[in-house]
Amino acid sequence: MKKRALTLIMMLLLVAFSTVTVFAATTSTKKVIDNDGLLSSSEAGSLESKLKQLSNGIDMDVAVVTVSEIPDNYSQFGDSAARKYAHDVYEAQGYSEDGGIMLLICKATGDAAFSTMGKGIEVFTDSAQNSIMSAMRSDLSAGNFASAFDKYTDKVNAVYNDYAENNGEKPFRFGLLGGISSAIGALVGAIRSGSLKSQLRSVYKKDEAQQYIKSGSFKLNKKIDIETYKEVHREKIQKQPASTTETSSSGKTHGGTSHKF
Amino acid sequence: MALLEYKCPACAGKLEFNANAGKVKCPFCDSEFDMAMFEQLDAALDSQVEENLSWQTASTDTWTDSDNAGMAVYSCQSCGAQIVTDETTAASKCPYCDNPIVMMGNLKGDLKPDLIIPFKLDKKAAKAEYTKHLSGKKLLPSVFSNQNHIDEIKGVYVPYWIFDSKAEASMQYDCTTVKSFNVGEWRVTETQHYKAFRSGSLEFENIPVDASKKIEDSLTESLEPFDLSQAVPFQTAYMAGYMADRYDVTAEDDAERVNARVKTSTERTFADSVAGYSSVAVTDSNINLKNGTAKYALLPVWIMNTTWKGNNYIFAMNGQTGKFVGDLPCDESLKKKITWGTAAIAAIATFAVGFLIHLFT
Repeated sequence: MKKRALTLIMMLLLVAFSTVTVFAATTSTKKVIDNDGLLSSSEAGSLESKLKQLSNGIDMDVAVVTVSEIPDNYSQFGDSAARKYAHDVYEAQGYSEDGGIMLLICKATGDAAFSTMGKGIEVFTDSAQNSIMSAMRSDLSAGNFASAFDKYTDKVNAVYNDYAENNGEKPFRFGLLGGISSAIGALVGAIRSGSLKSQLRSVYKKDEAQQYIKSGSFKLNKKIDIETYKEVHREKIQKQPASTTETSSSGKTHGGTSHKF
Repeated sequence: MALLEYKCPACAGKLEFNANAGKVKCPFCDSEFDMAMFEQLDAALDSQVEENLSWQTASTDTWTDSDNAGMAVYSCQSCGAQIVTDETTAASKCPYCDNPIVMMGNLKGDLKPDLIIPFKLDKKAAKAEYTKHLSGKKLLPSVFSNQNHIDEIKGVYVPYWIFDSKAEASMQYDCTTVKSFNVGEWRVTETQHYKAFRSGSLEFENIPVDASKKIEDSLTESLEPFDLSQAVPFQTAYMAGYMADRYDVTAEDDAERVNARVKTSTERTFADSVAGYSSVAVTDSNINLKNGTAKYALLPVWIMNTTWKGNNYIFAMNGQTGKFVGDLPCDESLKKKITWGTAAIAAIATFAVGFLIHLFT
């Protein structure tokens, strides 16, 4: 009986693990496109593998694209040129419309712009993008692009985890679930053996005499309830931060922000 | 002249009367209170009663020469129990510790029981209940039930004090109700504090407390309840074939135990009348017992002893209702196996369910 139960549980686990890929919404597109040659090949390779792992983990595309210039036809957008260009690059590279974030860097003009789509708009709000930018600004200004992109990767992961925790959507944490399962297992084991052991005990001290109260003998001759004072506590309701959205050249909706470094 | 001081119900700071506002104000937390509230509090406090928990023993009748005729008193040299039987009942071992007992003096001058509940169930019923008591218990070592055959089951009239009383109580509670609601961009939580006063009375009847030092209180309390409506005036004739333990705890000595039980039940019953609050805490409890009386009674108990692995196990059955009690030994190695086996299965199942929930939500 126990062997059957174990076999069934193992099969369920296998089925569960084997279905992981079915739910992935990331694309197979390269996550690092270094057109401006800001990274060495080993740095680019290392970043590619990190971003792929992160993309799979959070089920959204996380990408970095570097360009040598912003095309002239985007100059009509003024300060928003880099961001508008980033939206079009995002679509041109085929990143997921269901969810993603892309960082566009143009060293020549000192522009950094984010473009988000789908779930990425909800997760990576304007303030989140500002905090990502703050984390890497000094490295970008100093020309330490590999380090800046590492910080980008870490910060995107942290922002996603915060979002997931606040929205009850947590990434799978093997250790945490293992710990909780062990604790629940130990508790269930202790309750079962405790319950079996309690069958051996039938001798208890009585701390009350409830069954010896004479029926109908309880009489209340004073029942007074007086309001004394009131405490009032006010707490400001936290509003969810929002993302500003706009449309790309193709008319699709994106979130994003523009920055200078 | 005594200076009257009021403490703030919110922070316990010393309150001051604010003549301009016509209210009492706390200088520490700025809480304000209406004078009417203090008038109500004073009136409620004035009618509180002082606690008094005392009993009177109703029993005064003692054994006389004529009662004493035909009775034998034995003493256990091991646990000190004094066992009373009629002369025709052979008594050789103590019912509590199974050691030999020896004949001693007589009962003249001892308090005579007011009441007795005669045995309704016989030795055969006690043996059957013992067998039933051992069955269906997974952690009971199988060798215990196989090796332990209780040959001697003794019918013992255990001495009890039977308490009756009227409890008059005066209780005070601090209570709160909590309301939460949204006002614009604010979440507001209002906690309204109350003082609740309850006074009244409650009657208790026939609370049995054993009057023997040799038998554990927990064992006799586990045998409850006895139906005292079936008790009859004591007659020595009921002793034929049974033993009786001679009381060695007075009603005054037992009063502490019964008072604790009466107090708990009185507090519980009064607390049930404080309803509709989010929280209720007792701040003052005064219980006054009136007409508290204690009668001396002999109640029927079948007692059996067995020794296993150096420990003495005592079992008892209510000789009136058949309720059987007695703690049993535990197979510790089997307990460990069951604990870890169950824990492993539950942990794997929890992990699998947790993982599936993560995937599909």
